[in-house]
Parts: sequence; structure tokens; C-alpha cells
Amino acid sequence: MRLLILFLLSLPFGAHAADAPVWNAQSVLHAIASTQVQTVQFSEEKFLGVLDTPLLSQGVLTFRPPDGLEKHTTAPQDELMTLQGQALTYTRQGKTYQLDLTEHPEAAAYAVGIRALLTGDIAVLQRSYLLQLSGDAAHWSLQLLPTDPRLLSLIKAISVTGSGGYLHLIEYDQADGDRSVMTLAPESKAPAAP
Amino acid sequence: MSTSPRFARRSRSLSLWILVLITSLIIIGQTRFTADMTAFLPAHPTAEQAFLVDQIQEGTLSKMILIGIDGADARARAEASRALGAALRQSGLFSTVQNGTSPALATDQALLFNHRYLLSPDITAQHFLPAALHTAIANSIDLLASPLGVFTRKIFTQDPTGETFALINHLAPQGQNNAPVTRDGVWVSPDGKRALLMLQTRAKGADTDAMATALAEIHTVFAAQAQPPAGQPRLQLMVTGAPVFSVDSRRLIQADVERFSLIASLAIIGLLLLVYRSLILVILSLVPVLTGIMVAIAAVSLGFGAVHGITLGFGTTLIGEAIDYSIYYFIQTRDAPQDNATALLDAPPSPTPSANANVDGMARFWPTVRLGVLTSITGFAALLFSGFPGLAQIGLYSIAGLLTAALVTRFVLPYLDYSARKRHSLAPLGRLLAPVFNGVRRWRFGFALLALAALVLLVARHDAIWQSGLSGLSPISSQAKAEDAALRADLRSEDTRYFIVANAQSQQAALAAAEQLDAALKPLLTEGVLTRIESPAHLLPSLATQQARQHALPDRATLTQNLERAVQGLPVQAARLAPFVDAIAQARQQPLLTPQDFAGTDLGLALNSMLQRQTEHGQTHWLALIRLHTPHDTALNTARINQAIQASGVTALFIDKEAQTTQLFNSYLHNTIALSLAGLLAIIMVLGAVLKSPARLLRVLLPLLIAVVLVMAGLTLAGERLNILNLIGLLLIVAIGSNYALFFNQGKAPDAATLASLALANLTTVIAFGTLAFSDLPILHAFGSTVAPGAVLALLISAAFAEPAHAAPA
Repeated sequence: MRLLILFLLSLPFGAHAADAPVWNAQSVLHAIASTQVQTVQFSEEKFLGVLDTPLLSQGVLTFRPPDGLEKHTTAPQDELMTLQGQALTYTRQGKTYQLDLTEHPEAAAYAVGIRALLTGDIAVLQRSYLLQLSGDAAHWSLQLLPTDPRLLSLIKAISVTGSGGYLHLIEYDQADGDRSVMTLAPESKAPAAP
Repeated sequence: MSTSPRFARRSRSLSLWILVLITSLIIIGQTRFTADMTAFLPAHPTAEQAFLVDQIQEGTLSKMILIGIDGADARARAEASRALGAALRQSGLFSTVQNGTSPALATDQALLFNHRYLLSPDITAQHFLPAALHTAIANSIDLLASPLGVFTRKIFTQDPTGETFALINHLAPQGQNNAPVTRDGVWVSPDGKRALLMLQTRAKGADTDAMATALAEIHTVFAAQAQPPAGQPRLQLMVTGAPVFSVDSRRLIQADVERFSLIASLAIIGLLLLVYRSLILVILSLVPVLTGIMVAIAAVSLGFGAVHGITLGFGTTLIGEAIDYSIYYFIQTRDAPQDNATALLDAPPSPTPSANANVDGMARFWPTVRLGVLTSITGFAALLFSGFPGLAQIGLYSIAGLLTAALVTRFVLPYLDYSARKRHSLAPLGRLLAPVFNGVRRWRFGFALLALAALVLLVARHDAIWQSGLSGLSPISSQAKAEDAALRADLRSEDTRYFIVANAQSQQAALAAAEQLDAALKPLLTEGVLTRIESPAHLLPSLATQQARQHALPDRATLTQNLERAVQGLPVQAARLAPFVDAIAQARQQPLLTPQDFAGTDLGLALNSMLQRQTEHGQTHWLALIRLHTPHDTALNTARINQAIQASGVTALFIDKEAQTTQLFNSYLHNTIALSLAGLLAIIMVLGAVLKSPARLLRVLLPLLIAVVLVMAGLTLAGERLNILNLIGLLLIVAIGSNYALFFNQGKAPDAATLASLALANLTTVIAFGTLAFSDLPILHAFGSTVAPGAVLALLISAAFAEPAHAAPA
């Protein structure tokens, strides 16, 4: 219900955007931030060069303000990944592993990027990426191109599509050719389009 | 004249004295001074204690230096850490310098990866059958998709069964927080506000000079290369660890010993000047003391190879006791009546009247002083039998020092002393003091009652009298200890409490023993009794185990066949995994892993700490050291561990460091108490044999025992816990006090000169020990606060209980 109200509140903003030429990446991310979605379901396909077929997984993403992100994979295996600040904790088959993201730029590029996208944190994104927006408020597509050469050696691009303040798809292209596609849907029923 | 017997004796005495002085000086010049507390660890310990003592003296911890860099910002700290690390690696003083950037890290990883099929405990022939391969590869594919995929992706085609991952987990399980946090490429504290380094010196921790050099290098390099340029915020350096403690201990002990020796010496010299009113007399009275100290240091150096700082600290107090001999000599021989001449110096034809007077006085004071020296030496002789080198040193030092001082007073001083006639009489002072010494006799019942009350108090509080542990003796401030604890916590470098130690004839036998123990302990790991076992065989399996693993690897044809069937139903083709087939083929012919392969790696340091070569009596043997970790540091069920050791069939020691340390300190205290009592008993026997009268013995002894009891009760009431050096102090009260008591029990009441000399001797003792009581160092404070009040009490109580036969001298 709260989500619905928030969504409706965000509408005049979007409608107004058609008149004024201020609709940009910042307003998209602002819209994402103001939806304050805290839980979304995801399904992910990972295409790895060494494997013939993509790896499929699904689960729930939960955002815990101010900077906590939890990725709970429920299929094919139960796994839990939590990100708190720069500490990443990963639990699998009863074993817990801890990573410090500052030590592992590859893991950091992915996890921190996802968190910034889900929370609409434009400051974090603009620090590392060039943002390119296309489409309109109802069906937008945002390209994130790394500006940091070190990041560029790891990530080719992150592409996001969505509507209004909602993310639908995050595509993550690694420099080595591996990529993953994550489809998102809010846990509660998505509000009907007005 | 020049051929007179007295002249001959004089030149013989003096040349012998000068010879002794020169010899002592030469020995002292080559003496090594130490300050590590290990001198107070037992020399002939049990097997468990021996291991512990050896680890304290030579173990990894004794060489480990921890460094923290605070201040400025994270980037400046990281840069400083890198600069400091690089420079210290270059210095050659350290066997390892770790700060997260260590080049050894990559070498370590390569070593594990290249030998994964010899090292992984999972390698059996079954491991390469299609079903097992299928499970292992499926598991690795799951990992690829996880956040850990960033590590496993690069090596997946070479290691699709995940041996490297399993191996790293086996050696250093993730999630147990056993590695420091890394940020900006260097080790930092968990809150990120401090950069951290961990070093190990090449030299042994017991080599305090080498530790001082290493620490100086750290500070120099930091100031020169790691500080940001002027104008920018400064960085603060924090250095802790056992080497810092031993260097600081030595410095603090030396500084206090020097400072308090100087203060006490100046005060005593000032006092003597005031009383003697002759500079020459003061200098002469210092001659026995200084000779005694030099001979004592030389004797300890010869006997122990090194002199401990605490022993030197003891030297300060020796000034207080040995100066008494010359005081007795100078004062009591001054007023010697002529008709008392004896044959003490073989009755030479006296060249001067003053020499005659000396000889006469000698006859009166020397037998008493001789007995006093004898009782003191008897008391300290007990310490010679101490199992702790530190205490034995103090014993030897005191014996050599007191004996020399007494002998110099007796045989050298008379020949140096030309100025007897100029000595002014202290008899008036003695006559002034006589009423005080007489008046004190009225307090004898008061002293007796007080002593009874003190005894009751000591019995009631007998559990709280003694301090347990060595920590009470350490001069290290609690702030320095807290800093050390903080850095250790930041580095997550925990101190292991439980060990199993296996002793073997060869390196391979030690590794085999470790493997047998490992197998027997494994069930405890599954049950959760243990969370982790660290064994040298995990890093370096025995050659037999490595060979067995190598033989379990399938040949190329079999593996290719099995792999085809294994990948069915998996999203990977067998052809993709050709590097894996090559790796196995290579591993089948790979040279086995030897200790040399670990040279220069951090894994090698870990291996050396767990697999130690020992040489004893020319024979080499090997120790395998297995560390046991328990959940949240809970106490371990020792019976379970001992059962497992028995089941393994290996002869090994289970060591609980905490229990052993407590036991060690308790045995240490009991040993010293027993020795002190033995010393006391020996003193009683000597006095009994000489005095030949139970009544006189009691009269001499009772005041000393009352003084000891009152001091113990007083210190306990003041909230002080007594340690080993308080105990030695109590023995000193008896040793010094016996001189007073003997003078009061010579068969007649002491004359005025004797009273004056006793008062002066007592005052110098109180000055020497009293200044020590103001030291912040627990050891020196313990001496001072025990002996200073004890000496005053011993004199007063001796006077109170003195033979009542005669009235005060007129």
C-alpha cells in the first residue's frame, strides 16, 4: 500500500518532466531513491565463458538502510550474501566466508554498483561511471560506462532498464566476456499502471 | 723499616687487593648485561615447563614485533606502511615483514596451487572416479556463480575439483577472522584507523642487544622515510611486542638502578661527611663497598655468563649493608682502649700508636662482624640452590659482595688508614642516643603484642599475602601492556592456549607423528570440541603421505575417460578441462615437497614455528607442534585430548599454557619460600653453634623474627601483595639485623661508640633501601619497602630485647 502511494506521488513528477527538459539520469535515480523499495525478487542468468549453458538462480534482494544489502538466493541452492559497508559476508553450505571489498575490486565493482543502483545513489555511481540515459520516464534505459581505467579492465558496461522509479533489468557485462542478467520484480505485487 | 713483617703483610694485602680489583675490572669489561624476565624461569623444569620456557625464550612470540601507524588519513598511513615495510625488508634485520603487501603472499599462493595434489587431504583414488568428479566439479561451478567466483574463475579449468579452495580453507578457514583486515592494499585495524605491520627479527628474542638494534632501525626508518613531508599531519608510530618489552625493561631497570644508586650514594656520602668531618675517611669507608660490588659483578659474570639488571639493582642495596662494616671499623676502633690489645694481627710491633689503636679495636668489633657476615652469607647461600638462575645470581652476588667487603675492611682498610688520630670521637653522639636505646626496652611487651597481632593477621590473610605470576615483577607499565593487547587484537593475532608437542628423532618421523595425531583428533573437530587444528603436516605432509597421494592420481587415459562421464549433466565440456588433465599428469611426476620449497615464504615461517629442530647435548631431534583451537576460547576437556593422543599411538605432551604457567609460578614461589626458610634455618644453626647458648640465640633471633613479621603484616595492611623480591628482602632483614642483634648481645651492653656506629649503620641502610622504595619498578620498590622499615625495626627491637645485665654506659 505504501509502495502504491509512493508510486502515485512520484507520478506528477514524471508527467511534469514531459514539459520541462530536465528529465535526466539524475531524475531517474531520484525516482528510484524515492520509491524506497526495500525488497525485490530477482532471477539471474549468468553466462560464463567456460560453461556451455547459463547458470540460473533466483531469490530475494533486501535493502537495509543506510548501506546494507542482502541477496538471498533460494534456488538452485540456498545462499546468503550480505553487504554492510565494505564488508561482504557469504554463507553457503553452512560455511561463512568474509571478504573485504577494498581488497577485491572485482567483487566490489559488482556489489557496490548493484547497491547504488537499487538505492538510487547517484553520487556513488557518478564517481565511477559515465551515465547515459535513453527512452522516457515510462520506459527508460540507463547505461553505466566505467571511467576508472582499473574498473574498465573488469567491467565493460552495466545496462539498466526500468520504468519510473522501478528497475526491471540489470545487465552486467564483464571485460572478460562473462555477463549476467538480473530481472527484478518488487516482492509485493507491482502497482497497476495508471 | 721496609723489611718489617708488618710492611711485608701490608704490601702483600695491598697488592692482592689491587690484583683482585684489576681482574674484576677486566671481567666486568667483557660482561653482558641482560634484563629479560626469563632469568626468573626455572633452569630444571618438567618436560611441559621446558617446552614452555623454550617457547618464551626462543619461540616465535619472543621475536615478534607489532607496529601500528596512527594519525593523518588512510592514504598517508597506507603509504607510510608501504615505505616502512619496504625499507625494513631491505635492512636484513628481520626474517619477515608483513603488512599486507608482502611479496611473499603471491609466492605462498603459488606454492599451494602448484602442490595442491600433494597437499590436499581429499586426494584418494576414489576422488577421481566419475561420480566423485561429478560432485566436485558441480560444486566448483556453483562457486563460480558466487561472490567467491572472482577467485575460482581464473583457475577453474586447471582445478575444476576445487582442491586449491579446499586447501586454503583447510589451512586458514574463512570466517574465523584469523587474518588482519586489508584496506588500500595494507593491513589495517578493523575500524580502518590504524595501519599495521608484523615483523619477526632474525636474531633470537633473548638477545636484547640485537632487539635494541632492530627497534632503533624501525624508529630511524620511520622518521626518515615514512613520515609525510613537513606541513602535513604527522603520523604516530606504535611499536610493541616481546622485544620491546625486554629492551624497555633493561632500559628502565638500568635507569632506575643508576638514578637510585646515585641518590643513595650521595646521601650516604653526605651523611658520612657530616659525621666523620673528613673527606679521606669517607673515601676510605667506601673502599670495601666498591671492591665488594666489583668482585660481586665479576663473580656473577663468571658464574652465569651474564649479569641480570635485577642483580645490579640489588647492588644498590648492598651499598647499604656493606658500608656498615667500615662504619663499625672506623667508629669502634677510634675509642679502643689501649689495654684491650690482642693478637688479632699476629701482634706486630706497632709502628704507630694509631695502628695500635686499630688493632685493639679490631679485636672488639671483628668477631661480631665476622659472625654477622657469616650469618648473612649463610642466608644467601640458600639462594645458590634455587632452580631459578635469577635468584641464584642474587645469591652469588650477595655472598661475593659481602665477603669481599668484610675482608677488605679487615685486611686492607687498616693498612690504608693513616688518619685514625684525626677521627673525632662519636662517643658523645652515642651517649646522646643511649637513653633512646634504653627507653626502647620498655616497649618490649608492646613489640611482642604487636608481633602476635601481626601473626594473627598473616594467618587470617594467608591466601592474600603472595602475588601469583611473574607479571608483578615486570617493569612494563600497564599502559604499554594495554597498547600491546590493542595491537594484537587489531592484528587478530591470538595466543594459542593448547598445544600438543611430539618429539621425534627425524623430521620425517615428527611429520608422521603429527599426521597420526591429526587423524586421532579429527573426530573432535567433527564433534565441535575443537574448531581448528594447526599441524605442520598440513603444510608439509610426510614424504610417505605425499607419495600415497601421488600414487592415487589416475593416469591420463583413465582420467580422460572418467572426466567424460563426470561432466554429463553439467554445463561444461570435458575438452574445456584439458588443463586439468595436464595438471594431474604433471603432478604424478612432480618432485615431492620439501622444507626447501618453503624458503623465503610466509608459509615457511609458519612451518618453522610448528616444526622445530632442537639440539641438545650434541644430538638433534625434532619437535612437531600442533595448535588446538577451541570454540570461543572455552576450556578444553583435557581427558578427551589425552585419549586421542593415546589412541594415536604417538608419545606426545598435551600442554595447557595457562595451567602450566600458573603451575610454574606457584612452584617458583614455593621453591623460593622453601629456600628462604632453609636459609633462615641455616642462619639459626650458625648462630646457635657460635653463641652456644639457647638463651642468647633466642635473644638475637627473636627481634629479627618480630621485625620480619611486622614488616610482612605492614605491607599486607598497605595492600601490597608480596612477591619473590619482598621475600629476598625479608631474608635481608635477618641478614642485616643479625649484626645489630649481635652487637647488643656481646655479653655486655654496647658502649657509646658502638651505639653511635649502630645508629649510623642503620641510617645508611635506611637511606640505601628507602630511596629504592620510591622506584616505580616493582622489583626495586619491593626491596626498598621491605628492608628499609625492617632494618629500623630490627635495630629498635634488638635494643629492646638486649641483655639487661648492665646499665647504660656512663
